[in-house]
Amino acid sequence: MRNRPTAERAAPRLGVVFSVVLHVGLAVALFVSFSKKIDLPLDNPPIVPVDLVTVSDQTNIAPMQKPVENTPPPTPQEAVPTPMPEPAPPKFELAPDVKPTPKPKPEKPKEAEKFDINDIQKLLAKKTPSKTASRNVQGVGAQTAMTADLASVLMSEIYRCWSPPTGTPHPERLIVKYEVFLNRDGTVAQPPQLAPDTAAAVVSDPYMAAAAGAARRAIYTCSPYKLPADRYAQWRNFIVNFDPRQLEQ
Amino acid sequence: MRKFASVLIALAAMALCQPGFAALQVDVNQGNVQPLPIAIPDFVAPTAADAAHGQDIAKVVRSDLERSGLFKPLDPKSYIDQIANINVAPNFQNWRVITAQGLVTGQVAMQPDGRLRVDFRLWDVYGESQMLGLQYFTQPTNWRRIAHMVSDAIYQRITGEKGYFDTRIVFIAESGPPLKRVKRLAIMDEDGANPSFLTNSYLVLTPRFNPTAQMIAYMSYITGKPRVTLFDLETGRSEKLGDFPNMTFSPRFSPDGNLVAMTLESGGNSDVYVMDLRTRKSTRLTYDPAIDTAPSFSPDGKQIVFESDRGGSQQIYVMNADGSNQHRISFGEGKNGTPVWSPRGDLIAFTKQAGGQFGIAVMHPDGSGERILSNGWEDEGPTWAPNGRVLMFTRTIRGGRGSQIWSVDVTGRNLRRVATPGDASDPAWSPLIQ
Repeated sequence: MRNRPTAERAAPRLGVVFSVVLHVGLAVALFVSFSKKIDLPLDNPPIVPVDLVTVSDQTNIAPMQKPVENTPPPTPQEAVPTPMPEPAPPKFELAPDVKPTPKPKPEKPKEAEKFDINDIQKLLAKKTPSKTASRNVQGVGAQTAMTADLASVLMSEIYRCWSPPTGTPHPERLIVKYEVFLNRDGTVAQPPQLAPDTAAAVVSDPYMAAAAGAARRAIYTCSPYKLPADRYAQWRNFIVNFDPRQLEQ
Repeated sequence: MRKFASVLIALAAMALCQPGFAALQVDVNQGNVQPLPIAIPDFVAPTAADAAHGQDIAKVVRSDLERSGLFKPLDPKSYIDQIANINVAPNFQNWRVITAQGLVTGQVAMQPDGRLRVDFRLWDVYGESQMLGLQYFTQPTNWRRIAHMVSDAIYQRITGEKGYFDTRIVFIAESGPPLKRVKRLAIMDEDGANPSFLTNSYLVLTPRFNPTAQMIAYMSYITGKPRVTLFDLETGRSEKLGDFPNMTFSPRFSPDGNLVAMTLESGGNSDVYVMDLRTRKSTRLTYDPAIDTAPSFSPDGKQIVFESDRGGSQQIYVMNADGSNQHRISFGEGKNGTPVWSPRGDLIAFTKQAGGQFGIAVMHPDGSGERILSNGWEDEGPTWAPNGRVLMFTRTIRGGRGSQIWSVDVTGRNLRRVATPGDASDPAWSPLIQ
């Protein structure tokens, strides 16, 4: 009978010990962390990489990082880069049948260090096609081709030249609409014309006049536009809306 | 049926006749904010004697526009064309080659009556058209002001806002060791030229311009006690404002110039008063036992923003000009004080004290949209350019190494030091000179 109270006293003590240990453990776990590199997701602005696409009716951009295709790997000779920038391992020096590729690409030293001719097929399997190696762009549209519509191409050209008005009160109202007329060589054929509603606002609002001036300068400074000549009928004149609402003021 | 066909034909005709209809629509909702490249060759002069004025005016215009951060005046050494006659359209191709988007051509000529005539034109280089053309007559000694007026006109035509180059800054010029600091009232042009002292050897603080830029209200210790004093720039006379038993400070004019809002201290309690300069009658606006100070009128004169610690910490409040409807608008981190209502009315600038630092911030009059524009060790006391686009403030250098005047664009861009002769603090920006 005497033991019971002792055991009863011991049980709460154990509980307290466990509780303290757990709390200390929790506190330590909260303070200690293991660093881990987390790649923040990149914003994907709707900029079409025009250098890589052809102009079509609709924007249809395949994602840049494709899954590895099941095509048979090329022969080792075609893929071995020469010359190596650093002294290669002895095995590599012994490869007598190595032929230079038509356009040899200097490899990064890091890759050269890892290079092992015995494991070349594995290396090739890791490699993605060179045209998509350095970029990670999400697909747009059907994601089956590399085409952009004319509006996307023009947008990607004009935005670089547009220095929008900043620091103005109520910038959301400063939407400027111009009709642009181009020659076949992409130069501006005649002065761009303000849409009627913009023209009316420009007369009464000096901020709108300034916004219209900035838009007009953008149209001119981006000229000549690089557009497909065979589709001149579609881009000989177009409407462009300069909309500063999404810009950080 | 015939009727239906005629309606169809009419609709088709309307569609065809619609002017300027293009099917392709391009939405540009991203931009690339850059200062405008502009070429400003020396102004043409018919005689060698006038040539110096032509060079000086162009130089001041280039400097003004560059300082705004919105323009990039191109180096005259890069010009491949010369302007010989401003009444002939320039060869735009030669200016496009050097990436100029704007071109300013001007000429100066001394008139038989001894006045200087200055003409200039602003050209759209890509649009190949004149955007602006103006002419001024002035005394030759006034050439600098004319240059600022040219800058203001160009700035306004390009940005849609009035310029601020033909303005003056009144400030406190500081000199002497820290324990025996001499603080004198001084004035200079907006670009730092023509500095001069207005008072001598006694302590002055918080100078403020009236709307005509002819009068300055400030706090002075000339009689031993701090008193709000008026200084007339034309006559050089100063007078004590009101006959109050205790100290008065932190004055600011109403937009029409008829009222001065200020703080009156009495028995350890500070409250906001308004004095009518025509009748010299004063009206008390706040009755709170806390410290209410730093009043500033809205541009329409209907409201006053001020700082108060009635809520436990220094925060910003707004009330009607008659003292009614007092309500707090700042709820951000830290303490907030020295509010100044923008001349444009869209923002209130203030000093923000948080994280052991003082910075300059702006918010909308309802307290929303707070943005920090500068964050030095001790940036305080903002003052607005008359166009509500740029702010100046005092930056105290850490370690007792003096104070400087700095300016920043309302977007937070273009933070730069303002040239002053020696240490300077407490700037107040004048309205455009009339």
